[in-house]
Amino acid sequence: MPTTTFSGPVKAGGISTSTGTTLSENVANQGFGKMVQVYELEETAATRAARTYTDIVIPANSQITRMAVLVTSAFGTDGYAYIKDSTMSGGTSDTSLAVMNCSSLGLTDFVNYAGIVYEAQFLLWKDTGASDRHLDYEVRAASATPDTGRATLIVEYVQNNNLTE
Amino acid sequence: MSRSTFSGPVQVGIDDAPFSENTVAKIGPNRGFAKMVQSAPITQSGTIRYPTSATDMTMVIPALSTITRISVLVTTAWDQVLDIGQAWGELGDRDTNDLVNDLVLTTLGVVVVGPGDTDNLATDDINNWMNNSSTNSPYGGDRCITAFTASGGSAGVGVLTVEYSQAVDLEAIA
Repeated sequence: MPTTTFSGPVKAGGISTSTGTTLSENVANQGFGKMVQVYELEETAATRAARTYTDIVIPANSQITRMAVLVTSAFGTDGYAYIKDSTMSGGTSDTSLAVMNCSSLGLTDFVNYAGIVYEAQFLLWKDTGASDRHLDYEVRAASATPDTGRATLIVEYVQNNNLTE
Repeated sequence: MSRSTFSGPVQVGIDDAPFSENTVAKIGPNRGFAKMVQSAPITQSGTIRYPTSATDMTMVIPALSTITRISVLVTTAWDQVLDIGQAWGELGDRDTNDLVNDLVLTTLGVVVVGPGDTDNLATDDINNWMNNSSTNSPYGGDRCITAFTASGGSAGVGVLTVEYSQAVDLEAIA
């Protein structure tokens, strides 16, 4: 199927610029189109598999609104995928944009950092920064071989929303 | 950065898509609405926190829209609940809990509004999710999103995000 491609961001609304304070008449009402990128995560080793790049590249100054995984083959007990980019370290001091629980079948949203303190990365959800971010992932799993977990990572974002306040 | 701007609503699909209804082959549209998003940083205080003035109305949802998701990215925990409402006209007319009542933001992370945050709305207010301009005059007018904390406390910080489909124009079926 052909695709219609824009450099973006895509905005829509009947009033593009505010010139007064009366809604429906002269106050801008444009919103951003929500964008989505997806990638299949694979579990290839029981613990600490090498980090793997996804095809997901988030444009600069975007706002991440949702991350979710659709697990179609469970990673097993304590099977987690740590979603990162190249600026984030691995190992015991690792930081992540999100830690996705892939231990059971189904769709799971990333909700919060309860018990995991990566608050500095949380601000990247508000504004991903001045450069594009190429996402990668690292699987932490306690499942037994053959380690055949599969999940679809879903990243939803607003391109160049630039929430710098 | 360049932008692609439309008056909207943005719909994507084709007009003459083939499909089957039971075993009968047909031709028809398969268009869908683009999901739109507006966001604003908010902080906790004992008053209207967003917008702080009529010239600060940056989250304005076009008339007749369907709200599909409201969330708050909590970057500093709150110790008071948050109400999310709508204003119309020139901001003076508003319902501070037109959409969400008593949202708890005590945990860092993405808090998504759920049934427990909307089952205590005033009568018929839930219809504002289906059609944002259906329960207060002027009907069919744009609505500015408002954020309200009834009392002070710690300095909670977050990003309020409202997702919607523009001008779907659903009628109340409840």
